[in-house]
Amino acid sequence: MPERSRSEAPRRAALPDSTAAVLPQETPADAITRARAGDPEAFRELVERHSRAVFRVAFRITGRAEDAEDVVQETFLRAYRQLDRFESRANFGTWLHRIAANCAVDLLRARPRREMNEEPETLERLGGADAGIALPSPERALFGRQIVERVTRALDGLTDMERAAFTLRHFEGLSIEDISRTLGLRTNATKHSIFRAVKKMRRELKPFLGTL
Amino acid sequence: MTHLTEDDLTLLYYGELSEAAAGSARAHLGACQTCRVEQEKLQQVFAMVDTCPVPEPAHGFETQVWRRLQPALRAAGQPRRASLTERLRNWLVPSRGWAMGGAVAAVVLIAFALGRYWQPERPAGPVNETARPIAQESLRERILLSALSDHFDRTQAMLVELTSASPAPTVDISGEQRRAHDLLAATRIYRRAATEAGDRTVRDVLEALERVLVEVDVSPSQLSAYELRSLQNRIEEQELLFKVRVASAGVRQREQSTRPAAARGSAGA
Repeated sequence: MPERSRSEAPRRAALPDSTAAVLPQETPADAITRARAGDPEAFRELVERHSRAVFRVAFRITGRAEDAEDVVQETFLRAYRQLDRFESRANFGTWLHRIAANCAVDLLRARPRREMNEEPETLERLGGADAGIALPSPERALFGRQIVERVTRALDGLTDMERAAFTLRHFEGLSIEDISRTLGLRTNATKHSIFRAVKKMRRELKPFLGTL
Repeated sequence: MTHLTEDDLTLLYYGELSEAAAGSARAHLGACQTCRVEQEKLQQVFAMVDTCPVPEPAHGFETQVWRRLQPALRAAGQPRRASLTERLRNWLVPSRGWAMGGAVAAVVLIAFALGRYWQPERPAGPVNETARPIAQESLRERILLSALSDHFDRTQAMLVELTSASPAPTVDISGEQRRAHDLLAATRIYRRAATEAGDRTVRDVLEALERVLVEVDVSPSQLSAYELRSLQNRIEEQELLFKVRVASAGVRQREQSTRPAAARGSAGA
């Protein structure tokens, strides 16, 4: 698997399909201009065009569908109130995603940490991890579910800042510099949040390494 | 031979290494089996992370979002229309730029004066004895909250610039200092108002903010890399940006909640 290059613009081109769908689509400047002038139908157009993508960003960061829905509402409300600050040369989707990331982080910080899920079935119990055995199909399906559970648990084990920084870097393809601006962190702090997130993910997923 | 660290491999994966560093990392990977194995493991971790699905919102999600948004948007008013605070600020200071902080302070003073005028006692006499004070109270609160929200936004922007300043042998923070100086006056007024109003959350944030603004204000204009890093660390350790952001969100929410109430009050007057 090749590394993700800085020159890949947009970087998300290298991401899997499910993630590529998160990408903001180009928004007609006309809709933004009309929305700024107070045309509710134009703003509705923007909401309809971007709400699913905003939901995905919000879900990646919050990990809960109901929280993500709240973030979507708050994101569009803030965007509406700040439309005059949007620079028309910028990408509306990217701008919206930054607002969504901020809303999601605010929400994470405001809510108590959720309790960890029960220990999922371990791969060791399936006997496949370190043996490097090619698993038959039903077992592979179970194996896939195990991975998803582990990834989910690993994401839940991250601090809010680690999760936000990692999500924005890994799934959203934002540069570390952009993430720093979005989260109000220094570049080094952002880097270390990502490094810690990667370490935790790797620790959680260790039993699965060598089985793909 | 110095092996690549996991952090190096992470930065390489995300394309965040400089050209030179990436070239050197690749050259090392070409020659080092140990690091190639580590890179492979890391790439497997990322591949597994990519398998984690995001639930797709139900059909009609967009319509649902729009339906839920509409009342809030109506309450928020026209998007492009400048707020009362902004209109006052534009009137007071036609030229934009660093002087903005001073304009905000001026707005705060106006809002504060309005608050003082309305707050202590309600007008005596039978005329509009109930409706008028309610409308005035709402208006006063809206003005204050709007100005405070604006103040938090500007402070946040200044702090973000300061905390994201790149280290260099000497860093000029004179621009941030001027803004900190202007913001400081407004912060003190707000802090006193919050204390009087018994709003401890806002007061605590403003107190923390005040300490940092004073520090920026009295710092030398030219900071060494070490001094800058120390200042940035202090801001980060206090989680000031987070606190300001949360307080700002709370104030915006309160400002919004006063709008329909104000409209009802006016309609009843």
